[in-house]
Amino acid sequence: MSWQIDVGLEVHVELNTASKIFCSCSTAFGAGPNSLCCPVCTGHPGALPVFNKKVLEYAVRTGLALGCEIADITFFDRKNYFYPDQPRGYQISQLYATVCRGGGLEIDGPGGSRLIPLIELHMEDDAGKLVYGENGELYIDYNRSGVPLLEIVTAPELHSDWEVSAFLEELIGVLRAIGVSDCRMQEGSMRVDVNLSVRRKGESLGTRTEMKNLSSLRSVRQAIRYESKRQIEILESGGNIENETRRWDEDRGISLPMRAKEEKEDYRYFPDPDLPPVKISRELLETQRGLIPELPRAKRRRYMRDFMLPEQDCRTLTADISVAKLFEETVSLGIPPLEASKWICGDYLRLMKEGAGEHMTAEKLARIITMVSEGMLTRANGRQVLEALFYTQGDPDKYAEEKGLFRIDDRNAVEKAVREIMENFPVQVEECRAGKQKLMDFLMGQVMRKLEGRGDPSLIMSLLNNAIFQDKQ
Amino acid sequence: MDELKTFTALELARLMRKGRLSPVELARASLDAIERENKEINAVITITGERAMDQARRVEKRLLAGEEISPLAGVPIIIKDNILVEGVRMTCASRMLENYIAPYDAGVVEMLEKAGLVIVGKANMDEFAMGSTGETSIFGPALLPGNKDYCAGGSSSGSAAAVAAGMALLSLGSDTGGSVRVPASYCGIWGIKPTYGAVSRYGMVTHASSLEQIGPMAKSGADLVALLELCAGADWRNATSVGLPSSGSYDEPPQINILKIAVPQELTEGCTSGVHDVFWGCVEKLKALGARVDTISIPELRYTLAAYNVISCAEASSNLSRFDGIRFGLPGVGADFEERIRNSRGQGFGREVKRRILLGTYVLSEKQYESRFLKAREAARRIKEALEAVMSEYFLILCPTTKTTAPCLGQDLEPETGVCNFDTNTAAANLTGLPAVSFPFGADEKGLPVGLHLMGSAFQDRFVISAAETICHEVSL
Repeated sequence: MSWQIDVGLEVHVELNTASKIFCSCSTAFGAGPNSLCCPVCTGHPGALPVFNKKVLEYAVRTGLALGCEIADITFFDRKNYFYPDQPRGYQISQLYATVCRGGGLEIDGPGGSRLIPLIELHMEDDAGKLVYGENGELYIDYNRSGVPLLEIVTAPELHSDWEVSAFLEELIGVLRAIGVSDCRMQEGSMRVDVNLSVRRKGESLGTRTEMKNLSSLRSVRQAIRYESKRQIEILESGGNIENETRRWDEDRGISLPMRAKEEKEDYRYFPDPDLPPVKISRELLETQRGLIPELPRAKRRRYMRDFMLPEQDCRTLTADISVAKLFEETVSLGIPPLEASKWICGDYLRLMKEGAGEHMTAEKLARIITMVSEGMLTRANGRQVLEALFYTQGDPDKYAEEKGLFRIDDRNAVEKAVREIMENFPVQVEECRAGKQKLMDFLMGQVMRKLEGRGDPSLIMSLLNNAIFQDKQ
Repeated sequence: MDELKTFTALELARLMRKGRLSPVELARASLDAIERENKEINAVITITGERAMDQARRVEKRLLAGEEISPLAGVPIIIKDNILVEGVRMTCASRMLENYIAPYDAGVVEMLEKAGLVIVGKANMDEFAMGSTGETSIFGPALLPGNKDYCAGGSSSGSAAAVAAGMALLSLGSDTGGSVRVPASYCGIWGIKPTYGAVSRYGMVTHASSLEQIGPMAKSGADLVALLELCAGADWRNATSVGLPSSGSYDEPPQINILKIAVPQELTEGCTSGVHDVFWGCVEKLKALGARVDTISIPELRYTLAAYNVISCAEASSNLSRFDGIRFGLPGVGADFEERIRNSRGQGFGREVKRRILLGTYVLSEKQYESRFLKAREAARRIKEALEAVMSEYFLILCPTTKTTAPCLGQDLEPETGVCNFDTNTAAANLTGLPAVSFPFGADEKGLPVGLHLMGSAFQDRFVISAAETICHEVSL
C-alpha cells in the first residue's frame, strides 16, 4: 500500500523592525532580562497598543514578494488564552481580515519546479520567554513580548521532508533578500510548526497532528520522517490518529503529545476594539513593490542561463544577497564566472561561516583570482591572501609582496632546491627511479616546502623529472 | 472656608488668577472637606495630600508670576480610581489591585496637571467600573450626600458624591454604559459621556474598549465644558482617540425657541411618578417657551440593553484577562501557574466582575460568537443608524437619565434581575459613540435629585452642554 504525506506549515517569522509592533520598545536580541519592556508590552492596566506602521510595510512587502493578494483594509483580532508569557491574557493576531491572502512560492526539485500555494499571511505579536532556573523556578523575560511576527501559512501541499526543506530554504532566501527578517531558526527568529497527515493514495486528507519546537531545518526533516512513519504505523495496525499538538524532542529524535485532546482551547477570537482597522493605500503598495529586489530563484535561474554555472553553485551564490552582489561585481571586473564561483562558493563562504570578516571587496577578490590564474601566486598562497584580507584591511599585491608569497620564477633557484632535495633524500630518489611513482609526489612536496610554497608546480615537476631520470642515463 | 460650596470652579479659578484666593489654601480646604465628609460619604479611596499640596504650591508660584496656565488652574479635582496617577495607588475598588501603584500617568492626568489642576484624591467606584450603585466596591458604597440611606449611584460613585458633597469642585469618572451620567443624576450634578474618541483612554483601566470614555463631572454646565476642553484631545498612545474638533457656531448657548428636540417614548416608559412628573413638566414648559419637542418612537432602542450587555461583557472578559497576579495584582498561590492564575482571579475579583467575565467568555465562545456577539454588534449598528436618522431632523434627544431617583442601599445585589437596569436610558450613547450629558433638573417627592439626559450628534459635545444649560436656566417648574 503506498502512502502520501501531506504537510502544511505555519512559519512564524520575527520581523526585524527597530521597535516592537504595539509600543516603541526596542526589538534587540540578547539584552538583559526585562530591560526592553514598558507598560504596553507587559500588559499593565490602562496601557493600550498602538500599531507600528513599519510592520505593515514589511508584511505588505512580503506579501508582494510571495504573490499574495493584499487586503485594502486589515484589522487585528484578539486570541484569548492564559499563559504566563502572555502578559495581556490575549495575543493580538489576525483571523477575520488578514493582511495578505493566497499567493505561493515556487520550489525547484528533481521533478521540476512546483508552486506551493499559501493560504494567508498575518501579523501578530510575540510572547515573552519562559526561562527555568537551576532549581526549577520559573522566570519570565518580556523583552520578546511584542516583537512583531509574520505568520505565513501554507496549504497542506508539501509531500516530503525534502520538499518542506526546499520550501523553507526558498522562503528564507526571499525574506532575507527583501530585508524583513534574518530568519535565524536557532535564535528563534524563525519558528516552524508542521501540520502533518498521511493517507493512502487516492483517499481524502487524513487527520493531522501539529508539531512544534523545531529549531533547525534538520530537525524539521527528521520530525517529518519520524511523524509520518509513526502515523503510517498506527493506521496500518488499524488505529486512529488523534488531532493533537506534539512537541519534537530534539535529543531523543521523537515527537511527544503536548496537550491532551480534551483541553482543546477555544480562543474566543474577536476584533480588537483598541486598534482601529488599517487601510492599505496604493501608495504604500507601490513603495513596497519598489523595494523588492530580484528574488533568489529568479537570480538563480539567471545565473544558470547567463553564466552557465551548475545549479548547486547558483543556489549557493544566490542564497545571500551580499554574496550574490560580490559574485556579480567580481564577474563584472572580468573574472570568468566559473572561476569567481569556485572562489566564492569555496574559500570565501568557508571564511564567512567562521567569522565576521567584512573587508573583502570584489576588487580585491578579482585581483587575487587574477594573480593566481596568471601564475603569480600559487592557489594555496592565493588562499592565504584571501584569508588575511578577509579579516583585515589591505592590498593583495602589497600583502603578497610583504609576506614574500609571489611565485619563484627563477629557474636557477628552483634547480638549486631540486638538487638539495636529491642530495638529502638519496634513498627515495633511488626507489623512485626503480618505479615507485608515489615517491615522486613526496619529493615534489619537499621541493615545494624548500621554496616556501612559492614554486611553480609544473616547473618543479619538469626539473625534478629531468634530474631524476636524466641523471640515471 | 465655604468657597467650595458657594462658587463654581471657573469662578474660583478667576479669584486665584486675580490673587484673591490662594491655590494652596483652596487645596487645603478641599483636603479638609475630604477629611470631614469622607467618613460618612465614603467617596474617596486614596487621598493624595502631599502631591496636591506640591502641585498647589507650584501653581500658586506660577500664578503669582502672572503666568497664564488655564481657565481652571488651581482648582482641586478628584479622579476615579480606575485612572492611573503615577506613584499613587490605583485599586479599581478591587482586591485584585488593592496594592497596585500606578507606574505612569494617564493621558488625561498629564493634561490636567499641565493645566494646573490639583488632584486631591482617587474616587470610590464600583469594582472595575461594574455596577450602577457603587455597592460592588470592596471599600463599600459611596453614599448620597445629604441622604445617607441612599446610594450615590455608579459606577463613578465617589466622583459624583465628592462633587455633590463639596470635597472638590470637579471630578473625572468613566462611562461605559452610564457610569458618569447615572451617579451624576442621582447626586444632582452635571456629567458628560463625551463623543467616543474625544478623550484619550490611555491610562484608564479598560473595561469595554469600544464603549467607554473618561467623563468630566462638575456642578455647572460652564465648569463641565471647561473641564472637557482640558481633557479632550487626540493622544497618539490611544489609537482610537481623535480629539474634539470645534463645532463652530453650535458651541454657543442656543436660544430655546430654535431647539428641535426628540423624546423617544421607549426611554420615558416605566419611570417613577416623581421622575415622570419632573420630566413631562419640563417638556411642557419647553414647548410653551417655543421649543419644538416631539415624542417619537425608535423601536431599535428596545435592543439597547441586550446589545450593551453582550458587547460590554465580551470586551471585559478579554480586557480583564491581564489580571493574573503574575506581574502585578493579587498574587495567587499554587503548585503550577494555572493554579496560581486561578487563585489570583478567584480571590481577587468580586462576584459581579466574575459574573460579567463568565458572561463575556460565553458570548465569545466559538459556538455563541455569531448568534450572540455578532448579533449584538449588528444591533448596535442599527441603533446607531436609527439615532443618526433622528439626529438629521432634531438637534437633540431628551429623556430622563434614569427611571428612578437614587436607590436605597441593597437594591443592586440581586444579579438575577439583570446586569444594569439602571443604564436603560444611558447605554445607547455608548453603543453609538454619541455625546450625552446628564444635568440636574428638580427633585422628586422625596426631595431626591432628578437628572435629565440630553444626547447630540457626534463631536457636538459643547453644543449638547450649552443646550442643557439653556434648558436648565430658562425652564423652571
